[in-house]
Amino acid sequence: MGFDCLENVTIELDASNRLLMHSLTAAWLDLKQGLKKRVMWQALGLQDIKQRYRRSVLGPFWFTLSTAVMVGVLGFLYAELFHQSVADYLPYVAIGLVVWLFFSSLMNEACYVFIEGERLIKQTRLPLTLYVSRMVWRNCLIFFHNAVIILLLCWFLPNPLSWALLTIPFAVAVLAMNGVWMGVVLGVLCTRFRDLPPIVASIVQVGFFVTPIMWKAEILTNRAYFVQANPFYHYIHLIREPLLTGHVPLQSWFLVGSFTVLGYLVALFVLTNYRHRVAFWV
Amino acid sequence: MGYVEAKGLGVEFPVFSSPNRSLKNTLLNATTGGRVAQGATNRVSVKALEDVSFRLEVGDRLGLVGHNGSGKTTLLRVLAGAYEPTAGILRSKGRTISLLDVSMGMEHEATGFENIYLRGITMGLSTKEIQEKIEDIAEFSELGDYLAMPIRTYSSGMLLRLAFAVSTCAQADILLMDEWLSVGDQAFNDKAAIRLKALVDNAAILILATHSDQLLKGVCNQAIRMEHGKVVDRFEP
Repeated sequence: MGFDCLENVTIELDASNRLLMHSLTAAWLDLKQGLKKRVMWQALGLQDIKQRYRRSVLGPFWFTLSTAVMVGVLGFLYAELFHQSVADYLPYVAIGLVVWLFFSSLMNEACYVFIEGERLIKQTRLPLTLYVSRMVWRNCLIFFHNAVIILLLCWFLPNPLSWALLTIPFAVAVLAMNGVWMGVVLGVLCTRFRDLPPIVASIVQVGFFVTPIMWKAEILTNRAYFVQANPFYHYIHLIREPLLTGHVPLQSWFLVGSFTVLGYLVALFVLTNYRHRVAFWV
Repeated sequence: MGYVEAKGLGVEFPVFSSPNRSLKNTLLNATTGGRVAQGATNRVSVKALEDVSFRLEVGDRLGLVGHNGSGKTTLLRVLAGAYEPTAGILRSKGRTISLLDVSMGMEHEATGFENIYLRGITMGLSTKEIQEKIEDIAEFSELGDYLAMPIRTYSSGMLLRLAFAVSTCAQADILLMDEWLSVGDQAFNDKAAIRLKALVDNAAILILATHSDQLLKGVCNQAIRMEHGKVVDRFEP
């Protein structure tokens, strides 16, 4: 059981052998090999970015520029509206927005991973997870471009330099890893049910307003649970908190860790049951 | 080395129209015991393949013939590993290359060189293998300086040349083809035919779907006639 058409592999597909253990092993291999084929998803992901910005002078730095404009305008405007100092509010909004852009496009694009890959899926034998890693990598590249804004802001504004900053690369990696299970789960479901992508899109949109990105969690002093119960908040908190305060948010790490484990279990479940159907559904 | 074995192979897939693709109907269906949203249960499924069996060893050249929609392409997709059979067993050993869609994985805005790389990657070649072959591909396709330009500027003939040159750059044990590829102008077509012939001759096993009797006689040493997804005849061309 393998995925490399060009390697000297033995393919053995037995329709009567849909025993749980067998399907589970196949699902596990799909996840493992889909992540392992790094050269492939990097090339495809990079191509997606190039595709968007071909023939433009700034190229992918348009991501940086457009996010910077948004952060700048919103930062100054809302600092005024919320009666906060710009020096305090601007980095808060910048980090929140950049991380939110990353996380929300992971969720939105998760819906289309297999629909986009239809042509390849119908002709070749590649792990489904590969199409997901391609999407995640593409969004990582966009995030790196946007992260320049955070770096610049942190350079100019006094921020605590602390050991907590060392957790940030891990936090980014954890966010990307969450993109993988979301891509598998949402990708398969959205391929089957074409009404799901708009539902996901509206959840993401509402998520933006109920999550403390533009506003600060401290505003809701009496209703702290409203923020605490919001999973999106914890994902953003992993990166924002160490940058702004120099603390590692252990509770958020614990929660996000649990979401990740749970998410991968759901992804395995989905792959175990529906992996072999996706080629017929796209 | 290399073999392909199919035993009672069957593929049945659902055809979703918008009513039963929708989540609403599936949910309604679950809550109402299937009385309201009947669209979700009356799903149309197509039996694209039924009880197909054969065994191919090294040197076998199998031709698939039959009308449009008789299941030839579906069978090739199953053999390529894209579709998983819903009944029966498929066993195969060897590197499989499918030439079902030569321009698969190519991007219009990318340059010729980038596309060689992309197509190579999606075929499963390593970066190193592609680098070794790039010269051969460039030379064979005769595209010269055009390779540095986006392929959207190519004529359809040039596009096919490039796709053909990349698709046929690696040697396969098991080669899957949907009709003989013909490319571009006469001079190139002759060259392409020689290259394809060499690829076919060197492949351990060939499976070719075709409508042409002449091709069948010229290339294949056994043939299967298919109708409505079933094998109706086995013969020597």
